[in-house]
Amino acid sequence: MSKCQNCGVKVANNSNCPLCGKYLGGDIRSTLYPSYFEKHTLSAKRILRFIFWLIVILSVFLDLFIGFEGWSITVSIAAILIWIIIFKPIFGKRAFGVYAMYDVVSLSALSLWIDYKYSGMVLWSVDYVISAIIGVAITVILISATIRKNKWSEVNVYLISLAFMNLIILILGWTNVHTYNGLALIIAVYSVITIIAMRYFLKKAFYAELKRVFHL
Amino acid sequence: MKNEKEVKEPKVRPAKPEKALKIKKEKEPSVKRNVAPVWYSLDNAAKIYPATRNNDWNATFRVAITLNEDVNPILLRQALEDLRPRFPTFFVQLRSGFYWYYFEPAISSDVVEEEFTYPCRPMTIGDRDKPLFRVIYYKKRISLEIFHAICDGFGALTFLKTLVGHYLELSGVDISDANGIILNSKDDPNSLEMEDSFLKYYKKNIESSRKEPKAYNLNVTKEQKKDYLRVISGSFSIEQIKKITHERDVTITQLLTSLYILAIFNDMPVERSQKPIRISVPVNLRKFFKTSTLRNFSLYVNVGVVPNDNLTLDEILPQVKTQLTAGLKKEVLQSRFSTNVASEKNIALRLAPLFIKNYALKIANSLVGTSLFTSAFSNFGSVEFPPSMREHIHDVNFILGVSPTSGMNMAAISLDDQMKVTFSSLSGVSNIQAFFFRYLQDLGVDVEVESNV
Repeated sequence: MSKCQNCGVKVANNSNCPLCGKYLGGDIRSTLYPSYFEKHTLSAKRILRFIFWLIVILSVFLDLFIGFEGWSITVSIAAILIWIIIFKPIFGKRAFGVYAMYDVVSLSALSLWIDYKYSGMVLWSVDYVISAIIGVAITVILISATIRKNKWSEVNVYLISLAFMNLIILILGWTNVHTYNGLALIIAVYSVITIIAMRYFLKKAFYAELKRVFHL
Repeated sequence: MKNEKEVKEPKVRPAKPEKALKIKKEKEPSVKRNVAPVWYSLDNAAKIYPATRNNDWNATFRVAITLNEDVNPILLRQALEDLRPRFPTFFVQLRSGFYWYYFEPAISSDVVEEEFTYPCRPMTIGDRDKPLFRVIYYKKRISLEIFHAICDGFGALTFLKTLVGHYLELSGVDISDANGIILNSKDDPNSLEMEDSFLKYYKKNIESSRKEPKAYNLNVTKEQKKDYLRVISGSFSIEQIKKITHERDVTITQLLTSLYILAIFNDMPVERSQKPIRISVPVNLRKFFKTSTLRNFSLYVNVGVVPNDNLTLDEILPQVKTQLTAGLKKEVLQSRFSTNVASEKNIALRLAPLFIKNYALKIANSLVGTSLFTSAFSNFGSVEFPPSMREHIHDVNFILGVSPTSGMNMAAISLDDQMKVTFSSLSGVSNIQAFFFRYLQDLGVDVEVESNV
């Protein structure tokens, strides 16, 4: 054991005094702690994320280089959406239903924007697209539970949330905000059937999940 | 020691049947065995931690036990897996509800790893597979790093002691004399260990004000390395330091807190801040309120001194003593945590969606939380082991994680006559630590110092 003459303290496991830095002899590093290193793992997620960023940066650069026409914005949005909709659920650690909800919201917002930008807001997005997205999301969530990517007991919160979103489309149709309500009605029936089925098969777990998510 | 082949197949006990968690209001609290609900709401103290975390930081701390022999990772994994049914509130992951966060059981217990980086790096939150703690081994040391929302220091050390006890059992050590000192890993959990004791002892209409002037901020120069945390520990004899405390009629916590304030004062810029140097001292409420909970049940008492031109230890000590004594009265503590519980019970706050609550809690934490103290000092006190375990244990340590706002914290823990004070800091500069330990040395305490970098 060494003693630091500057500080007066004993130093047993470091070659330098931890207080003043004076060299006391012996091995360079602490014997009580490892040599620290940062783990750099080259995962598929990191590689793919790099490729997506490369696509965004290159497209913006090319667009600017050949006289800006704005197509790079579409490419960039598409790349980001593909990442959010497809790859984030694959690599993510959160409940699959959460990503499905993100996807529904982002795709609905995108369809509304395209409707507004290119069709002058004739509301085809609300008539057809959003309900269709909700229908697909319900199906994807059911499939994810079947292949055990999601737990059955936590599916119902997302199904109810999606049914609620579809209900808003229905109400907007009934109040003549948009014209065609047929698809929303079909999706409403589909979602109600799935919720009833969940209640039938899950029994108490159905309410237990609702209780924990909505506990006050 | 048992050979490795004998323990390769983990013994997984069947899940306990689920029962409702009810605590009868009786003089002697009833204990329900086999209680393992499928989800838990966060206790009152825990609610702040998920809201105030960010990508680079969350409230994590470490307790560690160093053995006399190198750790066998296979046995350690086995011991941890066996503990899962005993500590259901620990093997959980955080999930977002619509109004509040909640815990649900984590799928995996695979959180044993060899130490490779700085202590108290942030926990991965949102990973549904793994619980919000990690068990780290390095040579002879077993460390538990845990997200503060799960438990406080008492709960963490109870868990670690039980883990090490079971590890030693698997190694062939007879710890049958452990009754009452550590938990029996083979017992079933009881509902009292899972209760939110803040709610149990909350009293209406005895709320207190949280208003305090803002404290001096340390503003340490942070090292630009990922997860960097510099740890400097000083060990010394309790007998030696008790001579000083007896002379000055103070407790060890009061002396060390005062010395920490003096060390910070000594490091202040020449244009001294007029803001008080205030240390947040966690208090284990179990000493005041009877409970068996393993979840959070602690509170903080902020003690401070307004700097003048020439502050001395003898000036600081009486102020710290008065403030700590006043803050440690049962009624004062009860009124303070009742204020927090009353906020939690506020109907407007309860009905607010989680994302709004998160913003509100972040603002509240900044206004009446982190800005009110300069740094924290947590004195865990003495750790007790059964004699059969004690002979296999070299020492213990307690390290507080550091938030970007505080920059530095101090923790202390004792085993027999040895006390270990550990500074954790985001800075590579060690002026405060050097002043602190040199001063102790000058007071006649022999200090042995160690550091991780």
